[in-house]
Amino acid sequence: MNDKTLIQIQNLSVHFPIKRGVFSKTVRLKAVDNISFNIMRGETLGLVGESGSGKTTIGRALLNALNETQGGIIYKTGNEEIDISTLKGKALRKFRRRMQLIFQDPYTSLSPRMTVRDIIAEPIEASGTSQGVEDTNQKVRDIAARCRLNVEHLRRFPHAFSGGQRQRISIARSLVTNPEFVVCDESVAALDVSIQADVLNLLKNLQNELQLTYLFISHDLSVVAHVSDRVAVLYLGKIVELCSTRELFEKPMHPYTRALFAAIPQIDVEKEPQAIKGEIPSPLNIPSGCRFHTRCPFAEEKCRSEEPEWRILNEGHYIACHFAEKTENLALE
Amino acid sequence: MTMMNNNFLFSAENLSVDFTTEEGIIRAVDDISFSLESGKTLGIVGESGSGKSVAMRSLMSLHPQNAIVGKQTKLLLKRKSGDTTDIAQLKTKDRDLYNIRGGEISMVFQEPTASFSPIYTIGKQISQAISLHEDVDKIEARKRVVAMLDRVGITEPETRFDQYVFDLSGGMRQRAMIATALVTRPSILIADEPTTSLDVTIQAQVLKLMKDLQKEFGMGIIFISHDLGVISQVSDEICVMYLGRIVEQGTTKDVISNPQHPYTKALLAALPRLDNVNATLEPIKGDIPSPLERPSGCVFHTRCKFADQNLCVSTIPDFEKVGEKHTSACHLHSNSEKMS
Repeated sequence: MNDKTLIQIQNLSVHFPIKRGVFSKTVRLKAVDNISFNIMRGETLGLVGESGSGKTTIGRALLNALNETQGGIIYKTGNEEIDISTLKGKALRKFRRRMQLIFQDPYTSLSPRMTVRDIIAEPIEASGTSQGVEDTNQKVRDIAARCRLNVEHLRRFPHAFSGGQRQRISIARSLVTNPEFVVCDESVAALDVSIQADVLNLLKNLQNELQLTYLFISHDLSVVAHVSDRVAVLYLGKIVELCSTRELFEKPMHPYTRALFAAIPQIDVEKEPQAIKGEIPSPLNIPSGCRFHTRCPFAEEKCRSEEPEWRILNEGHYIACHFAEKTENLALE
Repeated sequence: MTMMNNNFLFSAENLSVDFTTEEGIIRAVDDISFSLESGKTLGIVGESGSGKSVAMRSLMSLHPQNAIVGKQTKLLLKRKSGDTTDIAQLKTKDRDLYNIRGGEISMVFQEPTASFSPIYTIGKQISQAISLHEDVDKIEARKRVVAMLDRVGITEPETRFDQYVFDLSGGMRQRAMIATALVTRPSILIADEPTTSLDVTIQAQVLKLMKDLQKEFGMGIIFISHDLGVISQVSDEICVMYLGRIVEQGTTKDVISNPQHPYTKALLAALPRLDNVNATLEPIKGDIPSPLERPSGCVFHTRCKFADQNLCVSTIPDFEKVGEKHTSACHLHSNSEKMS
C-alpha cells in the first residue's frame, strides 16, 4: 500500500441470497465476486459496465451500505488504517460523513417536503457533527455557493428547480459534511446533454477545490472517459481490465473492453457500431472459466475451463484474460 | 412544399400541437414541416421537452384528449393503395385511422416491458396485430408470427411464441416489439428511443437489425432519440428540435460535420466524445425554459451565445438555405464572423 492510496479493496465479494418460491433452496447471486483494487487519493476512478455487472453494488459496498459484504475495505487516513467493513453503530455513523454518495435521479432523491436548506443540512445533523444552527447555516451557505446556488434558492422547495439545479442541490447535500471520498452513481445519466456538461464541469472543479476522491460509476463510456483518471471495466461482477483512461481508450486489451468500445455509436458517420453476439448472462448462472467466454469471439478451450487470473500487463495496467496479448491485433469479427 | 416524387411516403406541413392544461395552453410543437421517403431514415434529435415524441405521435393521431392539432396542419400519407390521405383531417374514431395505425404506420417504444401486456403470451399479442388488419386464421397468423420472430433474431421462435414478456431479456423484448411493429408490413416505422433502455452491446445488435430489416422491407423509418451518436449512425437526414421547433434540418453529414445553427453547434460542443477525450466540455448556459414560458422570437435566444438583443428576441427566424439540402432557422447566418 503506497502513500497515495486512499482505499484498498481486498477480495471484495457481495453475494446476495435469493429465494425463489416457497420450497426452493436459497441460491447465491454473486453480484460482486472476489475483486481487489486500490483507489488513489485525489483521483477519479471510473467504473463502467453494462446492467447487472455490479457497478452500483461495488459503490454501495465501499460505503458500507450493504450487509452481505465479504473481504476488506481499508480506508487510509493520516496514519490510521481502518477496515470499514468492520465498523458498526456509532463508529460507523461517525465515519459516514467522510464518504458520500451522489445519486442518479435528482427528481426522486430529494424530499419534496423539505426546503433546499434543510435538504443540504440534513447530513450534518444526521452525522451528529452539528455545532449549532449558525454553524450549520454557514456550512450550508458555503457549499451551496460552491454549487452555484444562492441564498434565495435555499428557502425554496425542490419542485421549483430544473433537473440541472436539482442535481446541484444533491451535490451540495453530499459535500456539506466535507467528505474525502464520494461515490457518483450515474450522477449525470438523467440529465440532458446541455446540462450534463455543466454538472460534469462542476464536479471536476469541486474535486480540485475540495481535494475529493471520486468513484465515478456510469454505463456511458464517453462520460467516464471525460472525468476519470483511471477506469475499471466490469463484467458480471468481475473487473476485467483496469488502467489509466488514456491507455484504455488508446489501446483496450481485453476483448470485452474492445467489444464495448466498438458497440458505441459515435458521431463519426463513417464508423459503424459493431455488435458482438449474445447477451450478458444471468448472475445466477455465471459461465465457467472466463465469464466472458460465451460472447468472446476469441474464446478457446482454456477460457471455458480455467478462470483467468488478475494480472499485471504492464505498469499500472491490469487485466483478466488468458490471451489478451495474442488477440490484441485480431479483428473482433 | 414537398416534392411529390415516387419515393414520397409522408410529409408534415405546418404541424402544430397545443395542450390545454390548468396552467394555460402549452405549445408542444410549433409549426414544423418535414418529409420522409421510403427506404430512408429520418432522425429526430432533441433534448427533453423539445416536442420530438409529441410531433411524431401526430402521425398516428396518438394524442391525449387535451391536445389540439393546429388548423393549418397537413399530414399527408401515401397509402399502400397509392392514394394520399391527410391524417390531420381524420376523426378520432375514423375507421381509416384504425387501418393506418399498425397497418401502415407502426411504432416501437422505448420501454418494451411496459409496451407488452404481462397476461397474454408474446405470440398472442403479435398475432393480434395481424388479425386487426387482415382476415387470416389462427394457424396462418401463428406461422407468420413465428417467421417474424425468427427474422428479428429470436432463438427458438416456436417456444417463444407461447412465452410471456417476463420470460424474455431486455434485448429480446425489444426484438419482439420490432416484430410486432413489422409483422403487418407497414410502410412507415416510428421508433421512439427504441434503444435507450438497452445496454450498448445490445443496442448495437438492435440498430443493426433495424437497418437490415429496412433494407429487406423498404419501409421509411422515423427515428427519435436524444442521443446524437445513435442518430448520426442510423439517419439519412436529421431534424434538430428545440422547444417544439425544428431549428436545423439536413443530411446527416451536413448537420453533424457542418452544423449551422448555434443550438446544434452548442449541443455538439457539450457532448463528451470518445474520439477526443481530453476536450473540455462546453455546457450550454442556463436551463431549458419551461414550456409555459416560451421565449419570444427565436426560442433559443435565452441560451444562445450570439443572440442579438433586438432581432433574436423579437422575431421568429425563417428557414434559410445553407446548403443543397440543408436548412437552418437563425438570424445570424449572414453574420458568420460573429458566430465563430
